[in-house]
Amino acid sequence: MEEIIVLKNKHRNNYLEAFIVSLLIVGLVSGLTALSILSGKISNVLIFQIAGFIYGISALLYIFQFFFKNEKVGKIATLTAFLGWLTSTVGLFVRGIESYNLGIFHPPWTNLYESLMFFPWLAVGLYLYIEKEYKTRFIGAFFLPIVAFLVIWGHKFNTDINPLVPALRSYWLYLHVIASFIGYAGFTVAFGSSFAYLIKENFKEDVKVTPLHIGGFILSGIMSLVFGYLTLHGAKDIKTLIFGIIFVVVLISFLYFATFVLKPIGKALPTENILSEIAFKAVAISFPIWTASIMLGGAWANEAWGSYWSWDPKETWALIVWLFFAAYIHGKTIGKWKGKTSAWIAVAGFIMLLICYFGVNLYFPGLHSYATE
Amino acid sequence: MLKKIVSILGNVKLGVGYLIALALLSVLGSTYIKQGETYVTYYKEYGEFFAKIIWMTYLNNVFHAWYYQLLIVLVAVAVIAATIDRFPSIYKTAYGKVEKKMTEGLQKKPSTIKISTKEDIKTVFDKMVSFLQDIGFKKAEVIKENSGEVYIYAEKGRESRLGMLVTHIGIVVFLVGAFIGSVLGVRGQIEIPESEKADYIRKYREGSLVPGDEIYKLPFEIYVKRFWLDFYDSKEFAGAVKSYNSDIDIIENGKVVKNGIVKVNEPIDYNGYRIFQTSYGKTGEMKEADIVVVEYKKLIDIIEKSQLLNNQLAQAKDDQNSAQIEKQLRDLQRQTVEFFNNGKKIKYRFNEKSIFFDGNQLTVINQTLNYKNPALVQQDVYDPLLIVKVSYNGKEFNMPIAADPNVGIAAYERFVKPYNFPYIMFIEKFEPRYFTGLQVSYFPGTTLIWIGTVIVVLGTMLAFYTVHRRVWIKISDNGQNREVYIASYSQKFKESFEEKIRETIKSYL
Repeated sequence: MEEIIVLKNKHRNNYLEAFIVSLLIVGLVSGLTALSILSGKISNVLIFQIAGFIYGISALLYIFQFFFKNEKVGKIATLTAFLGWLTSTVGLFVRGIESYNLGIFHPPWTNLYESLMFFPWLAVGLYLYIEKEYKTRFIGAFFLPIVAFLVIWGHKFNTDINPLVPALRSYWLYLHVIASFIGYAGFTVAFGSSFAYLIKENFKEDVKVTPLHIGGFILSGIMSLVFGYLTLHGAKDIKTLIFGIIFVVVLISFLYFATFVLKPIGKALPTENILSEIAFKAVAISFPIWTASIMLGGAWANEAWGSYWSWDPKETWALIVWLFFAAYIHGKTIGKWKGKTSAWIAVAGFIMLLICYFGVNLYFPGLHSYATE
Repeated sequence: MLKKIVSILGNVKLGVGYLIALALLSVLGSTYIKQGETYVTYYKEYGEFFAKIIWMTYLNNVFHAWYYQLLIVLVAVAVIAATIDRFPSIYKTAYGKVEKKMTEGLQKKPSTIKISTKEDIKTVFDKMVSFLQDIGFKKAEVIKENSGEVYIYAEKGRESRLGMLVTHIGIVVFLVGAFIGSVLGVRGQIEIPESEKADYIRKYREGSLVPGDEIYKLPFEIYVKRFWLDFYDSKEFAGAVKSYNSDIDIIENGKVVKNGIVKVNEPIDYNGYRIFQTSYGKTGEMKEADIVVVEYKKLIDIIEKSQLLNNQLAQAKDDQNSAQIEKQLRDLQRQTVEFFNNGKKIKYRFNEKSIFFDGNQLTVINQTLNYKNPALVQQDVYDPLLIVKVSYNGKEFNMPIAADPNVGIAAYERFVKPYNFPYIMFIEKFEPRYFTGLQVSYFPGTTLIWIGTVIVVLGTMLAFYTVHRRVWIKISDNGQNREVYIASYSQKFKESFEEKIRETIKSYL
């Protein structure tokens, strides 16, 4: 006897509770925003600085709970991260309203400083979701220090609100930029868990950490700093380009040695299967959005720059990132790649992503050059 | 045989190799080696040796080099071959026949959950139905055996399997569009001053956004009626340019076929051509000017009077005296303003070669926004001067018209006064004349680009935002206990799905 039954929604999650919580959050954010604007003394920059400070505390708590496995501290860490996220939210609103009051309204993601505030906001949101989904806080121990660093370091750039250049005044600004940042956030998570995967793998195989590894770790670490400095402060010429290539190579070797040296951390990490799945899920979520972002950029360029594609450095690097993660997806789904190969491809893709984000903004001339400041 | 070739061409390792090779080659073309420059530029920058290397390896134009193009073709071939090679079997797994009753093999799999319970079969069954619903299934099939065993089978997200096909079709459509564009596409720019027209563009050098020496003739003319700037309505950023606009006519065979305003971010389309607003600048001329005409003698009177008063003021002995003189000076100032206000106003326009004044025809000979240093015009530093030919009392002479009164009076005395022309003229207000930089591009195949990329986005969403999942449940009754087996299959994100099953089942059994 065979029958088909249709499952009806007999019981569903309690929406009322979620609704009240969201309402409270919206109320809190708008209240704080109104307070900052009406007081006239609390600028968006101050709010972002506070957010950076809160993220910093949260990062410390995450690291603490990672090593001491303290559930309570973990909960406080999550709560602090959420608090930091709410503060950033207020900051973004305030910055938007401030630009409106200056008569030059634009959304708060139009230059390097703004993007360095906006990107962590998106990424923390995404991270909190993943934490809830996978019930693990280990990524936070890697992730929140980066967030705290970005938000605090971002204040080294020009924090002024300036009018947009005419070419940026387009509704595509909303879609294109948000899509790219979601992509950035997702690929960053993929990098984090792939790197953790490599550590876990070394831990599981119980590889011997030789002095060579430790020496290589220290040496490549120092060289990364030296060449990083030379690349970031060099003139825009071939010499800097060569420094840049060396920088990328030593950075990869630094990460390679780090997977050995950081082996003890492996004990605290979730299983390799979960790590590699988180990486894949992050890529799977980001990849269509990244594709859409490139497409939306093309549609915008077809209205502003004369063609859907100009081989502008940013476009090209976005394509490079796309190609890397396309390779990753193929290797992972049908290539029967070993976990390590795909993890390394994800790491390499992330380095390409960093160049796409910072390298192009700061160093390569091109049509996207307004994002320099 | 054919199958074998297809399978080799569509090999995953090969495909991944192409993708990474393309990525690495793209790196070469997007850093510090500027693309699309002339050989001389590289020679100057890097010296002969490196310039030759750059030239021979096509590093000056990576994206149009034979090896890059070849790789793209190989990618297209691989995409098609891989789809033909792999899709049929994927389709079969998704839509082919599947055993709905939990098999022995599934039951013995280590990941299969086994639970014993004392609850009666009806309750267990109802609980399992709710459980399936909780983990995201919308319908299930139930098979009740006569022996008392109950099988439940649920499936969802089969369409996810089509994602690969859809994405690959999108990629091919996109590549066809890109190919058409790269073969037939034209892109260039032209600077047209206001009230002038042009019927050609300067084509961009391949691989760059800089015009080269090549001219491309357009099948129509572009006439620029007017160009203007929009500014932000902001106190703090007064003068910051918000947008710029050109009012243009498109003229074909001498007839205006289209008219429109090209703005930044708002191009105009005509017959497959797209016209963009890309730049602007000043031509160094005045577009129009308001000129005031006054009698030279009266002006001199006023000036002399003011000089006299100023001298008196300098020599004034007591406060009362100087206050009186100051008052006289203020009155004089008011008179001066009135004097100029009452002066006759005439208007100069760029298109008009002559200005008429009181029956005199003034023929414009020359004009400039800055006669001292024309280059400063681009930085908004102006010193305008207009030179007109005047016929007066049967004599012809040139008259300079300036904005600065000191310059104007000196020039009048030198060039005009000898002819007894009674009037002196000043430029009161003027507008610079702009040229507009328009980019014109013709890219057939753009529609295919959009269709292709939209398909790719939808295809990847289908592939990654939906998951093909199956769950088999077996409930058997061994008299004392009810045994429940739960087996699952998830095409991707297996770990989190199994975790979800383990978590959810806890609240049921």
